[in-house]
Amino acid sequence: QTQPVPDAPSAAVQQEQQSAFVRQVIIQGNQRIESDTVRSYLTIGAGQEVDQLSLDTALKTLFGTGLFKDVNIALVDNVLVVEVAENPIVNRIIYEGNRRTKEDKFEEEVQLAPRVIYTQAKVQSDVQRIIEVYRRSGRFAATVTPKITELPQNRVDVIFEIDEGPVTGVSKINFIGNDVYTDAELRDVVLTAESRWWNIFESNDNYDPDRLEYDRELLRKHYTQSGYADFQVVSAVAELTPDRKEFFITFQVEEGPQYEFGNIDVQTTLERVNEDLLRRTVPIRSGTTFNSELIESATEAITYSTGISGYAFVDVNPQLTRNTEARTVDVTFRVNEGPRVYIERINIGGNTNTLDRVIRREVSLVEGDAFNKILVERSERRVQGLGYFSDVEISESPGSAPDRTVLDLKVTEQSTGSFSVGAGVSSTDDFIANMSIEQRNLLGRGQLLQLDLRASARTRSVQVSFREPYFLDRNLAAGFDVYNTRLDYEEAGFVQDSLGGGLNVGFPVSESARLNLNYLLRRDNVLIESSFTGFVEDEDEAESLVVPGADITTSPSQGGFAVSGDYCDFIANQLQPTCESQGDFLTSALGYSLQFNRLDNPYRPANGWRASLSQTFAGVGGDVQYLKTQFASAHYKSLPYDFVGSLKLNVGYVDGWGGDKIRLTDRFYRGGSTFRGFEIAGIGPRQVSPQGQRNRAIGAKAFVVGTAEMLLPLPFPEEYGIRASLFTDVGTAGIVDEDDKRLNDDIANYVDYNGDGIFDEPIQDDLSLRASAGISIDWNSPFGPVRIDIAEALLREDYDETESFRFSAGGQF
Amino acid sequence: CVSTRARHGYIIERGETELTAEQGLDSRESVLARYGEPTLRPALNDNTWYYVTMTTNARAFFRTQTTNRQVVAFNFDNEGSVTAVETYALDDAMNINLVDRETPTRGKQLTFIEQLVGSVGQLPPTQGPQVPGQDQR
Amino acid sequence: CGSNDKDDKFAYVERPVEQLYEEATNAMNRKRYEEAIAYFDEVERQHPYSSWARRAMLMSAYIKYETNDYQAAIDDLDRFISIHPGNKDAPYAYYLKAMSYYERIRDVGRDQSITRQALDSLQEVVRRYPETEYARDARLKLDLTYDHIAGKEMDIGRWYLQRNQHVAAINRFNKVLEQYQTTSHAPEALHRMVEAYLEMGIVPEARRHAAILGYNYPGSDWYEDTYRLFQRYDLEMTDQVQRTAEAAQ
Repeated sequence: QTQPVPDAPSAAVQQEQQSAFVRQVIIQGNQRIESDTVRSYLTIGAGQEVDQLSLDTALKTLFGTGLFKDVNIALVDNVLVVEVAENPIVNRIIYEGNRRTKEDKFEEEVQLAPRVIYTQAKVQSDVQRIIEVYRRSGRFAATVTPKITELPQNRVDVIFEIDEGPVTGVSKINFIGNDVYTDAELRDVVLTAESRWWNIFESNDNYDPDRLEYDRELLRKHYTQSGYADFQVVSAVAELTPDRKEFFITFQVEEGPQYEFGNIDVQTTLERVNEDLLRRTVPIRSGTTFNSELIESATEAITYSTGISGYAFVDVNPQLTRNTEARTVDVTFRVNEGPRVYIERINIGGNTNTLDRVIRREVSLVEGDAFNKILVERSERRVQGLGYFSDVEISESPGSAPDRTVLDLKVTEQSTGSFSVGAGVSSTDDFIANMSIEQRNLLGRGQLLQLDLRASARTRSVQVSFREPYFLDRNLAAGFDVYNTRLDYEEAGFVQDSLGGGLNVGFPVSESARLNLNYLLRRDNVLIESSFTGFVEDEDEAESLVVPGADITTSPSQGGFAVSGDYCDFIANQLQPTCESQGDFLTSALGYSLQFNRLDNPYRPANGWRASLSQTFAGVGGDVQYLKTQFASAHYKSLPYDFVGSLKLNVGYVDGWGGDKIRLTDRFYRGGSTFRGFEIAGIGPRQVSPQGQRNRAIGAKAFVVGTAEMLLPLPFPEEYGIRASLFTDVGTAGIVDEDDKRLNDDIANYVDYNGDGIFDEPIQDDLSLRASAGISIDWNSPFGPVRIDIAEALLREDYDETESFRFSAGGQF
Repeated sequence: CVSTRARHGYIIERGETELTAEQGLDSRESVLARYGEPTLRPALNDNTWYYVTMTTNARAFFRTQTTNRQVVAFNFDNEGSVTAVETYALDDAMNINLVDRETPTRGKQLTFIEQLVGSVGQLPPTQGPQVPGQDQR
Repeated sequence: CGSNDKDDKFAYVERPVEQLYEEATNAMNRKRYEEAIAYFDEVERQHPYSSWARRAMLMSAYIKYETNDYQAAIDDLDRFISIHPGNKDAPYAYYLKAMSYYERIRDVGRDQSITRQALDSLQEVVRRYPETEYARDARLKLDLTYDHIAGKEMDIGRWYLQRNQHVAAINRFNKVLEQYQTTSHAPEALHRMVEAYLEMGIVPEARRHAAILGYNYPGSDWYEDTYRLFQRYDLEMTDQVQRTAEAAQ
């Protein structure tokens, strides 16, 4: 039998006389709670004088414990009788009517749970909490009525009857008092959005008071950055429609006049700091429209330049004087001696995986240093740049002396291990799978360990690489990698088996430039696995077809003899470029790469540029001699409406030295991810063969590839992590050694590869321009990074190999 | 290549004079008022205060060098008045090779499997509490 | 293996409390911990007023502790303490709660918030029930916890010392000498002070710390290191320390 929650428990105090002596205390009515527990809470004990006041306090304390539903205290001829009725214990919690939200959502919020003591206060607060859960998901009309069912042994089942009601959207946002910007423009500024049925991804279309507060701030920022110094939001009101389905939100604003910057001045009491040097650092020109953001960046610029010129404690505060008729604002920056504050301690917390020193070495401040705001912000950015934490926060708290402060650096760890599985589908539908495991923060020591396994029809490779960013506890990154790869390069017609490794070290040469030095040692075994069959009249001529000592098999056919053996053993094929690259050889090379990085954000660059120049000199021992030079640069510019444009350039040139020719395996192959729209090694010099047979890429000594890309702003919110960009790749690859073209000298080798009836040279190499355009999507999906490139080759040579679709997916652990 | 200079410890701003005190005249309070909290107050004896000013220079991968160090030590007698003022400069420095022994500490290390699996600190308990007393009621 | 349907399976089988408790202890002895916990919880739910319920609450918390489910153990114990603050087993509950934090103390290189909680809960055991055997073990664990916190200060102090940041290092070692003199790190802190002050060339301060080290820890390896340092740089230690040094030979 269920009945509504009893109203407030009745409590009565029978009171005999003004005050009396308590000889004995008796506890009655308690079942589960022991008498001496009740006595321990009771403020009155045997042998005490008792009056009205102490009886009341005893009553209140007993109630305060939350253990009892009802308490009666009576003093009958010096015997204190405490009559208690215990609060029941909750047996089960039952939610009814919660169609839209599952139970576990409530369980985190609600205090009542099986085996917990049931009290009136807890039920009321749980009702509020459940309503709050619904409020947060935009259902303001939800109502919750609690009911209890009594069970034997003073136990109860609590039932929350929920009526969820409709989602209360935001039907209209309107603005009053805005003439400068239209309602539509201001709607783009505020975060709260109007709910429309077609806008399924919009998560801000419900009423949330804190977001409304944030909207006021967004409006203020928007106006004060475009000259309206007096702007203020008079009111932001949300009214609920009678049927509690919709909200009307009205912002009342007072724009005030638009101001321009009047005269800008810097005044300082610090000796030996010349004011016009400081004036030059201020990025504000008088006469331009007033902008509050410029004032903040000016304050930072001044603090920075005084810091450099030797003043650690500087207090910069801008004074604004408005002259309303002239509509100008004069800004005077007062630069004076600031408070002398030192950092007493730097506490690092939240690092459950990462070691303290891996974080501390990124902090550009040391305990005992003068407090410097800019270095604190730089430290926060550098720790964030490690990529091990989803959130990094530095907060200040007072130290043990007035001029001491303590920095508390709080991090929240995120998973730094990832494994990815890739699959590629190319125009020749050749299936490639790869699996790589990477741990970017090995054992919390900040070291990178990568294990890369690649397997497909034509490649099998195992690569292990390790990197320590602070080798010997210095600002010196060092690492090594070891690999064993077997590459059946169909496009170039050879199989390369290589076993090798490399050492590398890197260090900063300036604030934004790094130099890496590396050494590479690799043994390659290249073999042309395809066989070849020649034809001779009689048997003993077979030997003449091939290189002495080659093993061949002869079998009679059509009146003569078929001689079959390795492709390159036949003298006729010796001229093939691939045959020259065959055999065993050792590469030992030294190299450097100089990298500049001026990007605003390494992971999602919107502004700035990066560039790298690298050279590898092979021939430090070993039997391969070449010099390979590569230059790469990327420039990012953020454009209006959240577009981000980027221009990338990649250039490379490689050539043998000391009479050595450059081997096929050391040449450049462009295509796939390096030139979208084309297959791997899809563009560049090629040895063509008759229709139906595969053309073979022979690699290029030089290449130039430019990319123009436009990152598109997507309606999805940031957390979905979906990014799409339109791109066009333009460029070429070409130049081979002269004797690679020897085949072209003998007309017999000409072949009609494109079926146009004309016989063409077997080695095709012209530095013609290729171009492709398309769209690439990368999505940081919950189970890992997914990348899709869809591209069309616009300008191509008819012997190039195109590829319209490329896909790879990965996992995160 | 470019080097980054940094200042540590007590800051003597441009144009400020060196730290001084009059023997017999100055006391802990006057030094504190004039120069603020000392950089180092040795734990076990408060009769000497040290004001340390240091500049370092870090270049590429070379170890950070201390390019300048000024230490001013104020000695006080038990009544707190200044008895002596000593200074130490960079050339007093000595190159000590530090003992690499460490006093052992316990606590759960992060093992590779744990980082892989992600459940940290779940090793079985060492000794410690036994089953609650066997007596019933 | 949804766990909640297991609860329902038990929920409505009203059984005498002794039998339920019996099955719970059997399951525990056979190391089938999840089942044992379910039974103990059932005892408490069906018979909240029996003294068995109190015992069951503690047993379930103990099993959770044994199976490293420390947070769940702490929640159960908090509930026990709120209902039975005066009970004779309350000291055990406080103690088990303190141990649930103590077991999870992380190495000095990582976040120490759990160490802080262990410290507070161990102190509570000693404060509330000073005479019990639990307090005796808690005092021992308290010393080890203080030792651990001092270890963290030393770890950071050494790191700063290796990077020639003497001011930062000395302040960290100062903290150990001020607040953790009785821990096992005190002698090392004194020796590191000698190293740091000598590196800065402040010999008198180094000598003062060497004297304290010699006086309090004459036989320690750290004092030997300090003594060797003074020998190599032929600095005489104050005569008072000299005498104790000879005595220690």
